[in-house]
Amino acid sequence: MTLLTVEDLTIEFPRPGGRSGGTTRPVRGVTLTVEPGQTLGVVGETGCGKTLTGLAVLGLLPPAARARGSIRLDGRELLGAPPSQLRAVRGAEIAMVFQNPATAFDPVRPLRTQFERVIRRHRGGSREQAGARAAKLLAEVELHDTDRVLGSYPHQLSGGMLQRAMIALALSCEPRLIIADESTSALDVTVAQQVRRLLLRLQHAHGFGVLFVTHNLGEARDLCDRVAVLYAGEVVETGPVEEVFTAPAHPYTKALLAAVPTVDDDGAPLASLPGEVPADVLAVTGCVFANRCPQAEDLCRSTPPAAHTLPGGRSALCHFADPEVAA
Amino acid sequence: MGRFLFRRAAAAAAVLLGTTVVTFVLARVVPADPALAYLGPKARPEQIAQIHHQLGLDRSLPVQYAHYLGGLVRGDWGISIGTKQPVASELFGRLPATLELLAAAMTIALVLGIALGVIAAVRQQRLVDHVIRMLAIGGVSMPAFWLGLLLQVTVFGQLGLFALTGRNDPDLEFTDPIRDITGFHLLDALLTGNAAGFTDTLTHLVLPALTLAAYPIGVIARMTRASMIEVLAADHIRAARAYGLRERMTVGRIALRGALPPVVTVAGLTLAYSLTGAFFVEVVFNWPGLGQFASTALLNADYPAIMGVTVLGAAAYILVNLAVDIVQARLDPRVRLA
Repeated sequence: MTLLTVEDLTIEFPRPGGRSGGTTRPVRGVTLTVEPGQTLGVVGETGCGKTLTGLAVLGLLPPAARARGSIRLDGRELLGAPPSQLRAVRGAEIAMVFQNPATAFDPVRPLRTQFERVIRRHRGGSREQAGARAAKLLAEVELHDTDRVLGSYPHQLSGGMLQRAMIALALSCEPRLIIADESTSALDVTVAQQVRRLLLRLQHAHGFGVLFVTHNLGEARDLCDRVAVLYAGEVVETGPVEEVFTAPAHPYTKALLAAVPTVDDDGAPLASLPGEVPADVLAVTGCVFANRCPQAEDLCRSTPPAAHTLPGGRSALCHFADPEVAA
Repeated sequence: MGRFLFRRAAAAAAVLLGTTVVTFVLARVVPADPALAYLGPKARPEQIAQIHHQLGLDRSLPVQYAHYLGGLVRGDWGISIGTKQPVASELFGRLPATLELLAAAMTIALVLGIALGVIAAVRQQRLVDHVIRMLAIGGVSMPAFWLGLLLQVTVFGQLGLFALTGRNDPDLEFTDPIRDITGFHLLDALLTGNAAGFTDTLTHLVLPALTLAAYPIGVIARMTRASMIEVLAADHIRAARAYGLRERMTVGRIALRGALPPVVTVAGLTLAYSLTGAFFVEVVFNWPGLGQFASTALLNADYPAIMGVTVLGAAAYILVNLAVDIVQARLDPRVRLA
C-alpha cells in the first residue's frame, strides 16, 4: 500500500488588496506518492512550493493558509483532520528533519531534555527509559560519546553532530515517513555527504519512506528512487530518478539539468534559463513555464497543459511531452 | 558558573564603590549648608564653624571621604540632621516596610504581566491582544500618585474594599500584635499563625501594591508579548510542533522559557525604578517606609540621610541587577560564556 499520497493539493493564502480574488496559490494541484521504504525527491528552485508541500503533509501550514485536495498516510486522510489527531501523527508516524539543525533544537535546554519530551510524548515511560532510548538512537547515528552529547546544549555541538542528533530524534518513535527539508543544505559538502550516507543506511535498516525536499539535483540523484520536479507551485515532471535525469521530458527539467556544473565541462559557461517565474501565476492563461520555455508555441500561451502519462511510471505537464520525446 | 558569579560580584562591588564616591561628591557640591539646616537661619558664624568642625566639614575632601567610607563599612552612616537619630537605624528600621510593598507589587507585576503578555502574543492582533496592549500603555503612563488616589476613591471609597492607608490597623497593636521576626508583616503573621494580623496586613497591602505594580505590569506585559512573538516564530518552536508536542508544552514551557531572558532584564530594571515609585506610593498611602523619610530628608538638606538613602538605593539597584545576571545565566546557558 502506498505510504503517502498527496493528491491535487492546492494551498491558498489570502492576499488583501491583491488581484485574482485576493489570493495567492503557491501550490497548485500537486500530486505525489511515497512508497514504503522509498525516497521521493521533491526538487525545484526557491519559492516553487517544495517546503509548503512538506509542511502541509505535517499539517503545519501557517494559520492563514487554506489547503485543498487530499493527503493520505496509509489511506488515512490527514488534510482537515482534527489538530489532536495530527499531533499524535507528527513525530510518531511522520517526523521531520529540518534544514538548519543549529536552530531547530531548543537553545536553552540540553539535548537530553528534548529527546525526553518527544519520546515521552508519544511513547510515555520514565525519563530514564527515554534517556536510555535517546542514547541508543545517538549510537545508531554514530554519535558515540552519547552522555556528553545528551548533556550538551545545541550551541556546544557542531552542525554535523546536530544534524545527526536531529535524525536520531526523528527516528525516536520509529516513524514510517521522514520529511527531510533541505536537510543537508546548511552543512559543508563532506559533512553533507556523511549525513546522506547515514540516511540511506538508516533507511535500509528501518524501512521508512522519505520525502526529500532539495534544490540540489546531485543530491536527489544520490538518494532518491523517484523524483518530482516542481515549478511555480506545480509538479511539472515526475518519474524514476534515473530516467528523469537522463532523459528529461519537460523543458524545465532539461533547463535545470543543463544548469548543473559537471567535472568535465571544459570551463564552458553554464547554461542559464532566461526570464523569471511569473509574478502572478494565477493571471497566466496558458502554461506557467511558457514565458521561459524555448519550445513554447501559441498553444502553450493559450491553454494550460494537462499531465501527460508517459511509459515507465513517468508523467510530464507539457503539451509536447509525448512518449517519443521521453524515450 | 563559579567564575561567572565571581566576575559579576566583583563588578557589582566596584560599581557600589563608585556610587559612594559620586554620592559623596554630590552631597558636598550642593550649595545647601548642612550647618544652617542644623542651626537654623539665625546661626552665628562661630557656631557654624563649630558645627563644621563637629561634622568634619573643615577637613579636605579625600579625608572626609575616607572617613565617610570607613563609617559606611562599620555601619556608622552618620546622624540624621532632621531626626537626630543614626541614619543606619532609621533606614534599616523602615526598609522592611518598603521591601514588603515592593515584593508584593513585583509579585503581582510578574504574574499578571507575564500572563497578559503570553495571552496577547498567542492571540496576536485579535481583540484580547488590543485590550491588553491598551491596558499596558495605561499602566505605564498613569502616574502612581494619581492611580493611588483613584483606587482609594473607587475601591475603598465606593466599594468599601481593602484599607485606605497605613500598614496595619492601629487597633491590631492591642488585639493581635505582629511579632517582628523578618520585618515583613505578612510573613511574620504567617510564621506566628496570627490569622487576624495576616488578613489585616493583606487588606492594607493590596491597594498600594496594585498602585505600585501598574507600571511594571505594563512594561513586563509588553516585553513578554514582544519576546513571545519572536520566540513563537523561531525554528525550534516549529520543530516542537513538528514532533507533535502539545501546545501547552510548546507555548507554556518551551516558548515561554525562551522568551523569559529579556523579560527578566526589564523586570529587574523596573524593580529598581519602582523603589523610587514606592516613595510616592508611600506618601499617598501613608506607608511607614523609606519614602517619607527620604522626602523629608531631601526637603531639609539632611545630607547624611540623603546619602544614606542614595547608597541604599544604589546598593538595591546593584543587587537586583546582580540577581538578574544570575537568573539570566540560569535561564540561558549561552549567557555563561559572555
